[in-house]
Amino acid sequence: MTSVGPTTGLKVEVKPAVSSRRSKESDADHVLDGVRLGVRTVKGVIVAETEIAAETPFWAGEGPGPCLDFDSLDLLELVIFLETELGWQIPEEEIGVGWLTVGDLAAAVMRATGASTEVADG
Amino acid sequence: MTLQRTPERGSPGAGALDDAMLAAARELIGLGAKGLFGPAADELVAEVSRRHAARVVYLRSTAEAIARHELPGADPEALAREVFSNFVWTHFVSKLLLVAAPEAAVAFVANHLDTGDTEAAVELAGPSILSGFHYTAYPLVALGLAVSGAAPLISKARVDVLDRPAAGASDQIVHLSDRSAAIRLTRALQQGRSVWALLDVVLPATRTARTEFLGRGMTVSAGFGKVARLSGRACLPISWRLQNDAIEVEVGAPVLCAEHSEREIIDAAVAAQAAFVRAHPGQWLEWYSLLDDAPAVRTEVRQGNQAIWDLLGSVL
Repeated sequence: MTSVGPTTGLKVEVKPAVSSRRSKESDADHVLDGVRLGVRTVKGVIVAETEIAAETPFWAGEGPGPCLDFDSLDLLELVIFLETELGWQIPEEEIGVGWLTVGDLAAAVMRATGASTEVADG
Repeated sequence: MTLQRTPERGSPGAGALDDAMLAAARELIGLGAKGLFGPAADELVAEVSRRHAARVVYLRSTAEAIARHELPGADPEALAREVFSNFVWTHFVSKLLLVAAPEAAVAFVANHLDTGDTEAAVELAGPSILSGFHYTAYPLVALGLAVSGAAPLISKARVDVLDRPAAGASDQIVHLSDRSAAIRLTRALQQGRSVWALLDVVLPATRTARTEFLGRGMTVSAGFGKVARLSGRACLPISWRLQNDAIEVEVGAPVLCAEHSEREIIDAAVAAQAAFVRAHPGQWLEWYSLLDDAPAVRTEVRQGNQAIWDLLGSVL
């Protein structure tokens, strides 16, 4: 199934269920890529891939090294992006729970969707 | 009102003042909703005012802010005293009832707060952001709306005495200090539930926006505009005032957020409140938030409030 994100025009292809053609590690990478894309969209700057790792903290003061310097409104925009552009809906009870790093959010998306996702630039 | 000099804590006079304040509090609680107005309430306001460590800075800052803004004919110091009296009534008389006798508080708002216009406006506009300022009796208005047909999710700046389970409606509250607060508010709106938001207090380290207010600039939280735009719901400006022991609510024209930018939404919502404040300046409790040193004043006010509540805790 393919849909076009209403704001960015990105083509989103959502594959139902975990595909036997794709390993769990690939699923995780794809979700992480989607979260990175969301972060770049929200923050409005071009951030090199190496600067957004799974361990990268959202919030200042949450760990050593560079962070994304998010505030609650950035997080709102990111969640809205994931929902509207990529079709990844995170349930209410998961929202914000332990989301200190990019990897934490990606893990929440993985738990919520259980789907194999692929993002293609449109 | 002539205020006596507050004795130093630990001095013989301090204990007597505490006893007088606690006695007034007990009497008020014993009266239930009837305690909100009349001699018991007046006595507690007088006793708290005597004790409040931030009284002087609150009065001075409020008068200064009023003097700087476009209020022809206003007497800043007289208005500041009125505002402080309303502030004490709101933060101590009404909150004391909410915490100590929540059923009485619910009964009061059911009989003395007409939410009909608000509910009708929400019915017409759909789930909305009910936006207001910190006017006299705002906790009672929040309660009244929470138990009405509108039943909004209530946003609060911070955890305070009203978050005790006995205060009621605590499960309908979102704390703005929570990193996921904006998401919860937006989701609620998207899923068909109104939310309540007071625009005039900015939390530390939050994103802000500048807008015009009574001829000068005002800093408000930028989050309101973003939640409004992303949810696509209407903003309904509401204001209220105490009138003859009842609370009269006014509902303004809806701001259709889907048609406006975040800046335009904020400007329209604040402009609606400016009209009310110009007409009823004594009802707005946050005049000092307009000053550059507002954060320092707020810290002092909060500390003063906490010191009073530390004492009032013994009657709860």
